[in-house]
Amino acid sequence: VIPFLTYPLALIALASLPALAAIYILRNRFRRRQVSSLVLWSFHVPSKAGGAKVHRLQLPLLFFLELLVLLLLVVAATGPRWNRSESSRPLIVVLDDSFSLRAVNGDLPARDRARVFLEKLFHRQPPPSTRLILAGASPRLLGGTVKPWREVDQLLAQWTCWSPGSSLDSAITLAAELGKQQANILVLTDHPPAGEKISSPRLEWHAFGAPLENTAIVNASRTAFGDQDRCLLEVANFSAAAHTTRLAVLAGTNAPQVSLLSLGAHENRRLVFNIPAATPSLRATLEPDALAADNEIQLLPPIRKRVRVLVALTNGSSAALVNRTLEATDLRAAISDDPELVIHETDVAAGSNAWSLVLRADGATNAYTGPFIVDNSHPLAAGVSLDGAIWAAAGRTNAPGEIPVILAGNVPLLSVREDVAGRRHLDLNFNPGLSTLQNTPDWPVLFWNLLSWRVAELPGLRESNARLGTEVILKTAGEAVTITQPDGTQTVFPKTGGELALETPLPGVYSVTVGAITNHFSVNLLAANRSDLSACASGRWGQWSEDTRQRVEETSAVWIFGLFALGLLAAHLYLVASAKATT
Amino acid sequence: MLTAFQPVWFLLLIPLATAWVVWPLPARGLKWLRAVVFLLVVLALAQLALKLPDRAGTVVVVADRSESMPLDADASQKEIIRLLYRSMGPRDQLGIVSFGRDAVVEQSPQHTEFGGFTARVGPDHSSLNDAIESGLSLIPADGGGRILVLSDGKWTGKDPAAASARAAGRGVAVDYRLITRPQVSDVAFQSFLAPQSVQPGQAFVLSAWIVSPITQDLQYQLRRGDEIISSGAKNFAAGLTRLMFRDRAGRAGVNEYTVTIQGAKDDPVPENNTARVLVGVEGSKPVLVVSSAREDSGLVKLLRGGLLDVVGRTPGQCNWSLEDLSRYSAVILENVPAGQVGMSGMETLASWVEQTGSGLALTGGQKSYGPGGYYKSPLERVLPVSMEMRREHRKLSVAVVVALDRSGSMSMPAGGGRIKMDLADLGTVQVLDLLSPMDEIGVFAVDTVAHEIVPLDTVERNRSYRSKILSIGSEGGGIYIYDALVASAGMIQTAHAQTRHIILFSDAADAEQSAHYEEIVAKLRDADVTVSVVGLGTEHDCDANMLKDLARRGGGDCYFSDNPDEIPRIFAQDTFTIARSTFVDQPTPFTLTAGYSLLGQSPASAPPSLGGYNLCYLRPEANLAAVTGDEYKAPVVASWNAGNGRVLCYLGEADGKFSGELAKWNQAGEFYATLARWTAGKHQPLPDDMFLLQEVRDGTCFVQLHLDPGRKADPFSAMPRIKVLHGLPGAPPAKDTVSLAWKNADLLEAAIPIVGRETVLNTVEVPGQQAVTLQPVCLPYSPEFAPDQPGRGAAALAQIATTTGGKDRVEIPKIWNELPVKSRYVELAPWLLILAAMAFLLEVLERRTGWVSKFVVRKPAALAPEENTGAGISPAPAARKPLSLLTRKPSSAPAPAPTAKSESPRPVAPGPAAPAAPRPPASAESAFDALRRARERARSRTDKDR
Repeated sequence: VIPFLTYPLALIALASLPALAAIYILRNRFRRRQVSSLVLWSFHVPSKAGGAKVHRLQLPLLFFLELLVLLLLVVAATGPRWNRSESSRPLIVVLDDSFSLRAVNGDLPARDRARVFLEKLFHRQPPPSTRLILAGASPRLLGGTVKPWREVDQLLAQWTCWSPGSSLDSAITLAAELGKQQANILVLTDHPPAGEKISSPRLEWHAFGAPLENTAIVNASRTAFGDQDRCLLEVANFSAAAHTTRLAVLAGTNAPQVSLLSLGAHENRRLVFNIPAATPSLRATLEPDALAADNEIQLLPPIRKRVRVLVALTNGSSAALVNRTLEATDLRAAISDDPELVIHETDVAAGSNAWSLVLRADGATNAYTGPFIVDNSHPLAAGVSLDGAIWAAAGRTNAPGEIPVILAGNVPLLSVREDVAGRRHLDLNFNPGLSTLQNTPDWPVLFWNLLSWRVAELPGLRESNARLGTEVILKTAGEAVTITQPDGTQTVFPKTGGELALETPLPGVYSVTVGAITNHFSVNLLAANRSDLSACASGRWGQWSEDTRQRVEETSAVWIFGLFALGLLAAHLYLVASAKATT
Repeated sequence: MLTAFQPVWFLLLIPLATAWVVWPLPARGLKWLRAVVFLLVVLALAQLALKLPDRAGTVVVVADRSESMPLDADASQKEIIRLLYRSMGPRDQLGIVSFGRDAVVEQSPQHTEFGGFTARVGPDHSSLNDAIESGLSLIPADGGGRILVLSDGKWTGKDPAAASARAAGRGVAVDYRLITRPQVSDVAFQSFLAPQSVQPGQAFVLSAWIVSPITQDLQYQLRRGDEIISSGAKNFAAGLTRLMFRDRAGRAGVNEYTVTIQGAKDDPVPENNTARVLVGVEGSKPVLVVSSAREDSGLVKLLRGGLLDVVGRTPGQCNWSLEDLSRYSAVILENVPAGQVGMSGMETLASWVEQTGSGLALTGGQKSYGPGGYYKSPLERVLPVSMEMRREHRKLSVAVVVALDRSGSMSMPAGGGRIKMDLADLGTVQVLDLLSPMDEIGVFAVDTVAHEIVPLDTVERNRSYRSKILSIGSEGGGIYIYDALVASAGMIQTAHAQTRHIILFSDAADAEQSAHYEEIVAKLRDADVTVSVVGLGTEHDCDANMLKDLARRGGGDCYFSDNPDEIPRIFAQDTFTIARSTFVDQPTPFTLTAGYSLLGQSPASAPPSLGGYNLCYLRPEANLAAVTGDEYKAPVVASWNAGNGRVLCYLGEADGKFSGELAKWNQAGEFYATLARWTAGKHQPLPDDMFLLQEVRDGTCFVQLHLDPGRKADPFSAMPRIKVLHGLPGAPPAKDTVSLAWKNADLLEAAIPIVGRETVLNTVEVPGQQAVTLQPVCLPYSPEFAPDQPGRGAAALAQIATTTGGKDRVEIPKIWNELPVKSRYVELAPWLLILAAMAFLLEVLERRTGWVSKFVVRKPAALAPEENTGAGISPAPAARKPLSLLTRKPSSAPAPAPTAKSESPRPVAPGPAAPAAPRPPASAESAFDALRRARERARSRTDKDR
């Protein structure tokens, strides 16, 4: 057992020991003492004739007591700790953070019952120290090591149970790593362990759930479908009996449409319907049941990004052809101010933010009938086959930095270059007068690919509806971003590196402010496996073994030194007060 | 905010206060000083803490241990961690996370020195996102912390932008230190592109993009499978250069193309100089017949005669990988020993059949089924027949002596927590289990001498030795072959069985003292004893030739395997061979049953006799299509569905000595073709309202099932799912099942990550439809070695740092000074205890010297100098009052008479009587009473002294 000191600098206070000795040696104070007059005359007066005599320092018992007290106090101040065998073990609590713990059985949700249990455990058998691990989508430590219940309770405020899944296995692994096989691990959840059997002597699994009947919205999507939005709602009945629930769908400001859904046991019902694209938001709710969290979703309109295209072709027929093709893609914006794509015939700079497509029909032209080499993995060439197409182009080679996407032999027909600002410059080596490409399906495919690629690179949110716990991608130009969560919490990202993956810890509508523009996205709680409460149960699995093996733990010994010092101080007090000590 | 973590200690104040009152110190000041001491110590014991801003926190080091890191990265990372440890404060904590494919917590946050990396993280990936997530999980939500990434920034898998945004949201800065290989002269394939599938006969283009740092001449080579289809030299300019190849798709199946460049000078990452791609060819796939005769096999010719598309190969030409098997609709193993397929090959075959709906057929012979080593093999579970040796069908008894090498080399690990010796023990137990009770068995364990473990006796009596056999351990030294043979020969001489056999198990690289075995082996052969050798190792090991010679002289077989897992199966195979009861070598008639109609049309005439067959037993639920006419009524043709696939067993020999009259039968070709057709099956595509799409994107394979938006109802009753096989060369495939999930109203999607060099083979099961196997997909090479644009790794790390407020950490120790300041409870106990010690020292000083009160007195004295000048003049009470704390309290005892001013210093005050207004001396007591008290005090002292 090798003790070690937490604050070794406190040993400086040992200087008080020589100070005490100095007090005794250098100054033996005359002390007033009431004595009997009967002994006054028996006081021995040494003969001065004997000369100087060496007097041995007479140190009283109090001196040694005081020395010991000071020593004990200084040692205690250094925070001595040592490894010793402990009867009680530290506790690591793994808290299931999935939303199924919000299910109400009786008048309390499982989370609250688990909290009450933990509080009782603390009062009955307080552990020497406690750590909390939150098992959400990934495990996370809650605070540091805490001791009293009050501190544990403060940390439990972060146990909100809004996660769509629980990484209990990973959390238990983390707990085992933190506990180093010494700590007891307590799992608080609402379902039994997978194996129904706990073999570890250090793990107790307590579930506070109940196999409640629950109906939930388990899937929802809203996608662009022409001039309408196509919606999917999937409602599941997780009970063993048939159940009828009322589904209310509120589209924008219209009156809610209520329908009765009769679902068989364990049945999933998918509802697919279209709504006008102009509908601002769609809200769907189910009747209240044991778990309210999964009874409501909100779907915002899908993001329909369109590209501002400026067609600056001087050749009228080419311009007409391109304009017609662009319109057919349905990805072109109505306006062309501040263009994001410029289609022209020269290498003139297109603007600060614009990509460019140069239609190059100059030079001696050859008509190629294939075989064409198409890089189908490139976003521009996805689905392009060029079967039967005649592509007339100037015979030349690609410039340095240009990556050919479509070639005829070694002649680049379509190539791409990226400049230092990240803008793409496309070079289309194409003479429409001698080609049949524009009459094949590959022509609109090429333009659709081009505009889709540009859309994908435009700043802003990539999607407007997400599942709880997933990341929402936000493309930025590096400016500051402020995210406002549904509970009002704001997170500011002072600088962003182009693409930001936003986490979604709460369901509801989030606001994203980039510069002066604010966008919204909706996060819905859609997790069928956690909405299914049929496997939930209450009970205990596993038990901490009460082994008698020596368990070494680092323990503070301050209290030993402090208590001993207090005892000595009390004894000292008695001796001084009763004036019986020898001075 | 103040708090006490252990308030129970405040209870001590009660006895302490009692003592303080009962045993008062002589002066008021001393009393209060003592009270302060008591209070401070009790507060310290109660762990009084104050919430203060504090910079102490946690630093989590995220260390990249992937293959792309420099060779000395481990040492650099340890040095940085050591620096961090040395510079941390008393309340700081250091955690370590290492990552490759997985992120593992090597050290949870603590104040101890790091012991070193121990976890296996899978070096073929760099899951930086997962690692940062793990690091975040170690930093308490309300505690300050930073993450330090030690990496080259070449992440794979999920984009770390997600984790960095999470870190930024939690206020945890991610710093980094770039540790990277020199990339200056890295020549690499940037991409290798080819269509995922083509039609038979279609010409297509393969494009390889090569990035070269300088202009240089390089050699390139393109292979399709093992065949080189293009090679040459080319001058590659600095930057990107394209190599374009053209090929024409052959027969239906899958072609693997591998392109390689050579000749790059000082290439730091040679791993990315080879890339591969898989190209599927649509259409009906051929049947693979594996036999020793390759294309000359009679079975191949017969099947081709039946208009089947057949490929003939020898076992050595098959690599049993998923991409190789995907070329075929079915595999027929024609009398091929299990050892030539290998454990991983059999496992891959079995999984391929079960998962993808392909076919497998085994034909009989002396190298197939039990004698071929398929008993207890991975293929056994998918076969519709079982291969045990049944007692009632045994005709000859057997005596086997097993001599086991237990030399030092047998203590090497063999995976799964076992050593090689454990598997040899299992093999011996396999022999014990396979033999009939009437057979005899004896076992030796041999190192420098032979130790008898099981005496030779019947299996019935020796079954009790099972646990003793399993407990044979490795002892050290090498195996002494001669001693082993002598001891085994001595034992087998006493056997009563008609067939006597010795199995010698030895390390093929560590067999010693083998000089004189020829003589003893010759004597054994003379005594009609056979000797087989099982060599752990390969045929190229130093003692392999000697072991082969020993087996040849001994009239037995010699088996080699460097896979310890195969040892039990090899022991079983040798036991089957010597028992000679599972291959019937007599002409046997057989008849087709009604079950044959499930396979195809019955032949016009009854089949003639077989020349011999493997005696096996039909499994429950298997379809019996043909049965022998002998007393065993054994299956000749049996079939069933294993998972999605079809498995057929033909127990006769298809082409060989024991084919018998069947080989000459005019309908033999049609008979075998019927069996092969059933095995190959017929694949039906999905209906037109469903469209399957497979795409590899960012290292993940996305499988999408598109549905017709105009459909009236969903075309399936349950959710479709994907059975996934992940195959690595030389290793059994990993199986997985993934459900397709609704992505939107008309689309279902599943994402399957592709790891490293593996091949992924997906089979989509749509309820109500036949399973559809998609083309296998792979990555060009491990993503770890993907060539970087210059500085991409640094840019990735810099972006993470920018998002989170971190930076390129040059001065490592300063990271502790930049931890965020957080309010946290700081324990005051050390300070309280030091204060208590000081207060106590002050009390002693005052009690012993009175200097403290004197020091305090001086100032008032200066204000009223006349106080000390007039002896016996009582000072004004107002002037004395401030001194009362350090002066003696007026005692109830009679105060001594005022005395003249003493010459000695007056330490505390001018005497007890001086400060306060003294009582009138003996005002209420007579001199007699005073004398009486003095006497009593003297008496008590006298008594005490005595």
